[in-house]
Amino acid sequence: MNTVRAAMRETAPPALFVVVLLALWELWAGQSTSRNPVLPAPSRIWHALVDTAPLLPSHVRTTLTETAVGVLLGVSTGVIVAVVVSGWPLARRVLHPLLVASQTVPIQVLAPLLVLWAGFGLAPKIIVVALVVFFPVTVSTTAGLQNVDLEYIELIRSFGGGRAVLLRMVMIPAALPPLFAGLRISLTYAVAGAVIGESIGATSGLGLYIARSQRAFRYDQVFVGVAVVTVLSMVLFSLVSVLAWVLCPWQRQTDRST
Amino acid sequence: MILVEGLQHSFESLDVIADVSFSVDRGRFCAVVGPSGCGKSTLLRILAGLLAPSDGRVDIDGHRAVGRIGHTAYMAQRDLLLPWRRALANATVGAEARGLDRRAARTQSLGLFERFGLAGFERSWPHQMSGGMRQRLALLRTFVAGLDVLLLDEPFGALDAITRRDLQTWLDQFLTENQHTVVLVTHDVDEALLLADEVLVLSPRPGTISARVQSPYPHPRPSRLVTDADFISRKAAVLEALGQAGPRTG
Repeated sequence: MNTVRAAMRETAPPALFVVVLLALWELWAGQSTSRNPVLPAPSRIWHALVDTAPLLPSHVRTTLTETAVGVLLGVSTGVIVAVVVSGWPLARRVLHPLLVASQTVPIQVLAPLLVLWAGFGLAPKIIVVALVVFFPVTVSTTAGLQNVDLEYIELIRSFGGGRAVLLRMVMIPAALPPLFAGLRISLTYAVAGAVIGESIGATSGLGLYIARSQRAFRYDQVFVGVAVVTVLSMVLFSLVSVLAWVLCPWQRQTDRST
Repeated sequence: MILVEGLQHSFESLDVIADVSFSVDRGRFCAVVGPSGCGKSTLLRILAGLLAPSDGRVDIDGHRAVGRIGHTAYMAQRDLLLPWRRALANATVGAEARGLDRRAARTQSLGLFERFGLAGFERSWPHQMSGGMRQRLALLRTFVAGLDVLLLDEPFGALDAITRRDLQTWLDQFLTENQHTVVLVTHDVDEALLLADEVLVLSPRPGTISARVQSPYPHPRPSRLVTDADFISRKAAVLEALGQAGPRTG
């Protein structure tokens, strides 16, 4: 009972706030629909969602595939670069400016070029997502590895533990929480990255759906696309949070009270 | 047993240890006291093989041990429990790092949790444990590593006086039952004389041995020993050796 009540106390205020916002939006937009098709009321967006529902699954599948592969690619290259950079000062000096520069190029500029280079398929979108994920993961994992307490390393070494033991017992567990922190930040942009890539040139995907709806002046459908992207991002975010909760049990807040 | 001969060490131009020779027989307990910065911790790190000395010889159980790691169980002043491991998994860190069988180490640790006053905390995270418990767990980890020679760098330095006294008598009892060769570095003259068979007094930097005081009482020792007249006279001898150096002026 107590946990139910606690969960209610957690979720009720934001849920209520969203409901109030939607109601205000409905009231305001519902009256001006005929004059202002650019801001359709939530009820019209809902109808558009129901109407185009059969089209959505294949678009969602494409976007999710691009996002998932891109995230995996971004995380794995990010972790590799972090290991190299934190273990080798010369690599840090050589790579750091490039890392920062890679993040300053606007995706809207980069995406058309990637489409030119890599075609209309999944590849350019995967690259965009990977680029978006790569930088925060690299930066936070590098910080995690560099901030490992030297005395932990010395402790393992004093017992005769080598590199492999050190990696397993100290480096990996120490780097996991910052890695997840970086991943969580970047995930909020990951789906959006895939969508931007798709809106420039694609044969399927939510970005294509949004772009087509925009060209047809179907702004209610544009909002459907935006809503689906938001839900997908939140689902991914929750998945990673669950993964972090499972893999980093020492970080669980509730454990402090037991 | 530990044999140290003509040990010297300097960090760049700073001489930390000038000339130190001593030996600790198997199963004996040797304490090293000295003023801050006299090279006590450096000495221990050299014995642990973590630091190669500028000159001199270190043998552990008949093996040349200069710069060789893994012959001793070293315990730093901080407990260094890994925050991502529960208490039981922390207890086996030393054994695992040495490449010993993890399951055997777990079984051995489980048996010792009671003896170390940690029963019921096997699945706790380090941040859920008190300072005294954490330090006992760090000691447990040191023992489970299964090495004869223990090097303890102020293991009780961060604890309050009461917890500290408890742990001292407890450690004395534990070592009486389990033969280990121990070198303890400490600031606390009472602690040194209460636990050790011999106390080495180091001079201020660069460190040399300025006095050797025996503590010939049978183990386990009662904590009231510190008020015994003979104990106090030995304590006076240690303090005098420490005081000869005197605080530096200027």
